[in-house]
Amino acid sequence: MWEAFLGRPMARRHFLRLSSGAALALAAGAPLLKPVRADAAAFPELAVVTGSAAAATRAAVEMLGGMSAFVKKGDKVVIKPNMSFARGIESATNTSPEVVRELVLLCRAVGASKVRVLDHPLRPNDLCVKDIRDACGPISNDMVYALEEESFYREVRVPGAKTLRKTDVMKDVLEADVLIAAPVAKSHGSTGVSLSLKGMMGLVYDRGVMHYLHDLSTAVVDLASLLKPKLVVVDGSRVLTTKGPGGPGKVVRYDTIIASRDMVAADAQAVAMFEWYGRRMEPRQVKHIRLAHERGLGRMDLEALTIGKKRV
Amino acid sequence: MTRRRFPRIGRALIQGVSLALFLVLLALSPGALMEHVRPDLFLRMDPLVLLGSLAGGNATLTLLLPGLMVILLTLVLGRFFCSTLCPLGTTIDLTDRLFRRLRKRLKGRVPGRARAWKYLVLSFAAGSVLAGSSLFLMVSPVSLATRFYGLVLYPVLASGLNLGAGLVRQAGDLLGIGAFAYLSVPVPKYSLAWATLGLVVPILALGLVVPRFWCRCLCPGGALFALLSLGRSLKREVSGACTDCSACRRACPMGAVGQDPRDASTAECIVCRKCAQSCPREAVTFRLRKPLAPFGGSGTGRNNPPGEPGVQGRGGGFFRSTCPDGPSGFSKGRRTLVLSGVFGAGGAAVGFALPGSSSAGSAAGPPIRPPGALPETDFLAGCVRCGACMRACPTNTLQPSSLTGGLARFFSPVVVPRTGPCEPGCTRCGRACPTGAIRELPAHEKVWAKIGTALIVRHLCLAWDKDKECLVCDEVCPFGAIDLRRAEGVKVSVPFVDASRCNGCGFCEYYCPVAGPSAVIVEPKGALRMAEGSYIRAGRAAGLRFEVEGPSRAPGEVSLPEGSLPPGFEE
Repeated sequence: MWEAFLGRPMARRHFLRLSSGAALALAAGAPLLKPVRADAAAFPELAVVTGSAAAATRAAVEMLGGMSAFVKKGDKVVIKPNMSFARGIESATNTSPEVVRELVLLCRAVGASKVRVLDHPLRPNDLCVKDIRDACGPISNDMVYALEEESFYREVRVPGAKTLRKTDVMKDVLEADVLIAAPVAKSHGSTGVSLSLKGMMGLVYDRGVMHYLHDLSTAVVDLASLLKPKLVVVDGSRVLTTKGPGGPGKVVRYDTIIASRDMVAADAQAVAMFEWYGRRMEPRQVKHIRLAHERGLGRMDLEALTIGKKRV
Repeated sequence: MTRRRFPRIGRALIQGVSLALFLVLLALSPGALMEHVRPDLFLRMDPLVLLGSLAGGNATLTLLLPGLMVILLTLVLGRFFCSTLCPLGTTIDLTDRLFRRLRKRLKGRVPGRARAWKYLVLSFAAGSVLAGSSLFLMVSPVSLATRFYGLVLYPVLASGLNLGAGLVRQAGDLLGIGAFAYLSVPVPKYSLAWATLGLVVPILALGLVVPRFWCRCLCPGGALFALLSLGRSLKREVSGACTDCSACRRACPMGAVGQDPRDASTAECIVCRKCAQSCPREAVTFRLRKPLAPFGGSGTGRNNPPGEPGVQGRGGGFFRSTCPDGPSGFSKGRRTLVLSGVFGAGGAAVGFALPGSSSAGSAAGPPIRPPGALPETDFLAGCVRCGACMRACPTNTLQPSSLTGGLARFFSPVVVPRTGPCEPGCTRCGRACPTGAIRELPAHEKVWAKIGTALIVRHLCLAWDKDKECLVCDEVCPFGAIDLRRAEGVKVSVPFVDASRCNGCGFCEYYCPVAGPSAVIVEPKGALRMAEGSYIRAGRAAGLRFEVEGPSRAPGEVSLPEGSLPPGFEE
């Protein structure tokens, strides 16, 4: 149910984070938490794995407690990659098909009843989704969709929004039990970077209004307060470090996958560890990451987070 | 019994299959199937469309072949096209059937000379073609039918189908069938429906007066076929068994059978053979005979009573039956012909006077034309305003030009980016054009057929004018023609258009989030309009740099000015 993304789990996560600070508080809080959540405290807040895309994806999810920590048997899952551009894999404008396929397989392995890979593409054709659809084809033909028609979206209010008070969200996302963000890491001409927070714009119908009526960064944060993925997997196998989001720009191979329960932390890690226009940038220099942190949607203070690193 | 019923079913079957094929091709013309099939087959069988093809000057033999075949067959069989293949004729037959009762009650009559009107329509249209605008060929029957079905009825049907698709989606969801999860039917929208309905509704309504009023009296295609069929080899013959019962006269949908049932006008006969089927004596037959003379020996059968040879008289003789009550068929026919000539000249004069046509020159510059459109003069001469390109356009960007665009350009296709962008990989409009007014280009050539250049309207732009972080135009541009750079006095990065990379496709204008008029608009400036030759070569020569969607593109430069931040980042 869609309430799963609205407010409640984040509050719980917040609570978890607070309690993990003090052992005593944790001990007191533990009985109130589901076992899965309690286990989560034992896992790093960020997993950074280098290696080939599929293997690194698998390992990163494993470090966070495995897919069963996020997806239960019978769950409906929506995976949101970037597949808005009709350009080849090497252009780094779309998420690597291998990352998406690995996530699909992991979801299926723990018994997800339905897995959909969805995006609202910018180009009205199937070329955008072709690579990812081809990769997922052997698993199921009823999986990868680019939704352009208004009737596939439903209007919802955004509680506590600063500027984006309502929006139209994909019905499938509203009806799903689990949302997984799988953005590719790329630069973005107006928001600095496009990662999991910015990527949620691919799940709504009218994105233009976010540019027009509102301050875009504030609107992105509003949207992220509504659409909260349980799991974020940032594809840094290759990173479009300039001229994003459409490219063509400088693509750097990092062979890295970043995974987290926290959108802000995952995005912050990606900003900090990859180059942007040949420079080193800090997460606070990306307005929507800073605003999301300030609003308590997640944490960008990487130095205070537990980061698990691995090479596969 | 069987002998009489059978051919009627046969012809109705051909009519039904033809109309169905016409409609299917029209409905599917934006689809991928059209890479293997030509969507404009029926249009190209229309002799007036053929005229437009010749006027446009870009006609290949493939394009002309169906029209030439129909003309050749007409020389032998007469106006068979009207009674079998013509989608408008079949439509009229259907509505005429609906009107049957009402028509009988109204007891409408048409004066014999009304039949000559169609020659006036024909000569007027032909005259305007000679003067350089095929605007008036929009009244050719298949062009009319294409606009009516493709641009008016199809959108209505599609929205109905889309409602149905919604139900199928829900049913699929209940039954757990995923395959229908996102079933939907795109519903196109076209402007100027009134212009089509304003012609077609009266045409159909005239069936309340007499059956096939349009085909008898007004259709310029029918007029041309009538002229071509004068020497046809297929003869209507009436045997001595005829009892003058006039059943055939009443059955004839064209009113071609005269007071004497042995006498039927070849020009008016559409060889539907209803007369033969209706004859209780089976006295009427159609047989292939050698023509007696190039333009003689037609009209009535061999069993004509002697003393009526004038019926097949040369020259204007065929008009005789068009006004059977007239005292002298000859003079009336001649008068009609003369009038036609005058009318044709009038059409030519109007054509010359049309702004934007060849001789008048173009006062206002041409609008944004579909990629591969011929140079404007040839384009206007070749475009028969059938709307096939608009129907075939999968993004719905092609719309008919309104009257404010000038009479000469009325209903010709215009790219309207706010309704949809022109997809770089798509070549459907050129494929659908029956006259070659839009060249059929291979995809790699089409990418280079620049149709215009984008212009940022800075006082409307969210970034330029309102310091908002917007880069939608850059994001959607398939050609990488928009650069975001820092500009003095603006806090955010702002878009610039690189004209040498801009194809005019209009993705930027379509997606621009500014409400109302877009803050980035495509102008026809810099469009490549060529009658022949390679757009790639011409484009390269003009300094254009079009590379789409490929890894072949070189990555953009990474030179940031010293001390400045990457776009979108803060201090």
